[in-house]
Amino acid sequence: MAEVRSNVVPMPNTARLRVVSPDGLPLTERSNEELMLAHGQGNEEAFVELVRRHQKGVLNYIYRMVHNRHVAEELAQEVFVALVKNAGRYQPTAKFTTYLYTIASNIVSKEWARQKRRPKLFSLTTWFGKEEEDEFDPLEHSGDENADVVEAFERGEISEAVNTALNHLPEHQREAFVLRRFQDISYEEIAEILDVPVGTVKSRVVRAERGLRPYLERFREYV
Amino acid sequence: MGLDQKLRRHPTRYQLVAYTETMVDRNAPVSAVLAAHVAACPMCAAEVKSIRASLECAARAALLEPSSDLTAQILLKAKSEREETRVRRRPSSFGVAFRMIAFTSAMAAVAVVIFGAAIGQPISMKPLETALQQVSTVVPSADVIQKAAAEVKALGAAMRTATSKPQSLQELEQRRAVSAMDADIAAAQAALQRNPGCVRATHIVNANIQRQAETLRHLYIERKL
Repeated sequence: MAEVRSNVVPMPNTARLRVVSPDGLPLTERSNEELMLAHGQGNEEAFVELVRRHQKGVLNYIYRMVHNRHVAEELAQEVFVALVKNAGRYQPTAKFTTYLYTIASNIVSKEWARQKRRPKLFSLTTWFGKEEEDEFDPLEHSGDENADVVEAFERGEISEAVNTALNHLPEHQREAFVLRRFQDISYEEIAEILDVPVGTVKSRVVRAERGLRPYLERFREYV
Repeated sequence: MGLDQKLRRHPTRYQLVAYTETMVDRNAPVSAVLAAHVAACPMCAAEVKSIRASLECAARAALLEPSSDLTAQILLKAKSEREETRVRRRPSSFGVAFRMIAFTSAMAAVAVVIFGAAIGQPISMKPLETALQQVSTVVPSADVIQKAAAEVKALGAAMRTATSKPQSLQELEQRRAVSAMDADIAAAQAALQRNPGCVRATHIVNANIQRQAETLRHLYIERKL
């Protein structure tokens, strides 16, 4: 015992503490499904971990769907609030990401419906082009020693072109393509999320790729 | 057609996309049959090249970074949602039992007033007021009960001024019926003390009080009008 004690190094005040669940397993090492179940039982740290893991993915998925950063952040918040609302009823019958993106997809569909009902007004951002803050600014990356500004510029240009191209796709094709290519979700999972057969998802992804091709033609040299 | 079956014709567009995905992602198994076909077929090779350019473009698109306060906003909204959920759930668990007991005791107090008024005995209003105070905090129809109780109190006072002797055989029968109902109410109250929130006992109390009220109304009408 004394030997064990002698090996103990006193923890400095600045050391970061790991968040550990009551059963001793760190939350960062638990699966999404376990975290969601723990959250359903009132563990708020589990929810924080879920937000940490998935907020960027959910935000990017929604952003590719609605093309507005502010709206995307609002909707991403709604997605996580829906997780809180349904935490008590959650059953791990499918992958957590399927569950999460089903919620996100429903919220996006509602937003589309809202946008269609909303009267189209004259918009300065439409007149001048895209919203400035949504654009990728390579100068932001110029201070970073590791960043290649030219590459960042190309990347920004490609991002913009991809977003523009996605905007030209029908909604259902865009959704399937974004889930497959940006969120890296399997065709089977996408079929569950969108509640359509797997063949339909495959067909939508293929059509989406065909639809994107003319807009991305000029970037062939970059890739 | 599966990806590993021998190709007798050009692969479908989906097969080519799936094949190209394996090249772009570099983590999925590549179909050797399809690869052999693409290598030998210039048309399919050109198609794969185009698909690959699109997919790699998409893969190179920058990801949007969440704003610095997004996590805080989500956690804040989640917290307020949890609070709202707690408030919504509270009356459904503990509140139902409490509401039932409060409602039953209020009804019992009303019955005591009615019965006491009918037989002409002075009634203490304290238990009724206490019960109604309880009810007013949880039961939305407390005002209705209070109005009915006030009406019964006025009727009882009016009845007490008249002679306590029954004026007809029908009145005598009605008084006996009220007494019998009072015995039922007392039995149901005893059951409620043993088993608080018992639905059946609550129904018995409620039904008997309603019948008592109706009987007393008849008595009053017959005497006064």
